[in-house]
Formats: sequence, structure tokens, C-alpha cells
Amino acid sequence: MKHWTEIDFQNWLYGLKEPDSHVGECAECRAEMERLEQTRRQVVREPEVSQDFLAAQRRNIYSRLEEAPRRNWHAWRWVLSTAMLLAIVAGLTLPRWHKTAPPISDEQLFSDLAAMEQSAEPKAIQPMHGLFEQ
Amino acid sequence: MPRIFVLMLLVAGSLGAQMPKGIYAWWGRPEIRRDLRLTPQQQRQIQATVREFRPHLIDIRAEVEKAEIDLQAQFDQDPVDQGKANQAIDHLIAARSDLTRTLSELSLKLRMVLTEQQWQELQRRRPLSPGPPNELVPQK
Repeated sequence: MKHWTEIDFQNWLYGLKEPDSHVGECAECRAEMERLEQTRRQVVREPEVSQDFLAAQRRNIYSRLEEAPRRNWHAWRWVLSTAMLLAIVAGLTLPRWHKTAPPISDEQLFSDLAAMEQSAEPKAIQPMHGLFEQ
Repeated sequence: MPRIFVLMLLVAGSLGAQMPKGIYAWWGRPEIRRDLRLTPQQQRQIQATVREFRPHLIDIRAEVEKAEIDLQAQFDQDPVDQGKANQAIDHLIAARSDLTRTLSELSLKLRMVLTEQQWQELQRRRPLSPGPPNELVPQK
């Protein structure tokens, strides 16, 4: 009787072919079947993972989850502090710049004020003088 | 006869020109400080008084300038809106009134720092017109 072909072994391995009388008698084919089955068991077998490994992994994940927001907060704290500092500096210096922007001496200021006070009439009506000039 | 009349006008004009003019920053002129013999205490009081009034005076100056510009703008309108022009006139009068009041109050405070003798000396040294120190001409 003929030995099983490779196709026969594949069909058997995936449940498409039942063992026949030849396999029961042929030690060579039976050995090949055992080898294939053992290889398949090794391939589909789930890896052994210890509880300690899983616990350590879980702890690692949780610790990283807790650290992530804290790291963000540290970064934001510096950004906010810098922004507030800049705002305070700007608040203190800008009004001063604004006030000192048009520097004017006492001499000039009081000269202007005296000229204003002594001008007897508004500038807008000065052209009317022409009506009375001879 | 007409020449005499013209001459009289010129003399009257020149006399009028020598009338004492308004406030000027005499406290900033070393020669006046020296001639008045201001004490350090008086100088501090004067500086403090001027510093106190300065911001308001700067605002008033701007207010008068703005009122002048507004009135000029109303005069330049065609047709002229009489109501708005009258409002601009009232505004200018108010601003100038504020200027006169504030300058008078400042002058009074400064006068109260000075002695009678210093006040007389300051009166004597009034400039003929507001302007730089080289226009300062003592009156006799």
C-alpha cells in the first residue's frame, strides 16, 4: 500500500481526512503524523506568562499613566508662570512708557499754557479779522 | 496830525506789549532761583506743587487743543451746523475756563510758598511774553 503523500498529511492535520488502515500498519507514516502533530501543538500553544510578569507589566502601565499628566502639569506650570511674569512686567512698564511717551519740559508746557490762556479768541475765528481790516 | 495819531498808537501798542504776561516756568531758571534766594525747603515745596498740577495741566492743554480743532472743523463745514458749532464753542469756553482756574490755583499755591519780598522780586522779573529765557526782561 502506498505511503501517505504530503497532501494527505496536510488534509489529516486540518481534519479533512481520517486515518486509514495504512497508517495503522505503517510505522513510517505514523511517525510522520506524530511529528507533524507535535509541531502543530508547539505552534498553536499559548506562551506561558507568569502572574508576576503580568503584575509587573500592569504596575508599569499604571505608573506611566499617572506620570503623564503630572509631567504635562509641570510643563504648563512653567508656561503659566512665565506668561504671568510677562503680563506683570508689561503692566508695570507699559503705562510708564505711555506716560513718558510725549516728554515735555516745564518750560515748554507752561509756555504753551500761557499762550493758550492769553490768546483772546479761538483760532477758528481769526480769519474774521480780515473783515475789519482797512 | 495823522502822524501824531500813528505815533500815539505805536506808543500805546508798545506800552501794552510790556504788560506782565502769564505764568512761565520760573522755578526751572537757575538765575531766578538764585535771585529769589529760595531755600531748599521752598524749592522742594515748589517742585511738589508743580508735580501735583502737572498731569492735570497736560490734560487741560490737550483738551483746549482738541476743542480748538473741533471748533475749526465746525467752521469748515458746509453748511455750518449752528447747533454743533455752538456746542464746540461751549466746549472751548469750558476748557479755557478750566485752564485759567487751574493756572490760577497753581499760581496761588506757589505764591503762598514765597515771602512778600520774593513775590515782589518775581513780579519785577516777569517776562514780557511767554517764551524761552532769553526773552526775560526785568521790569522797572
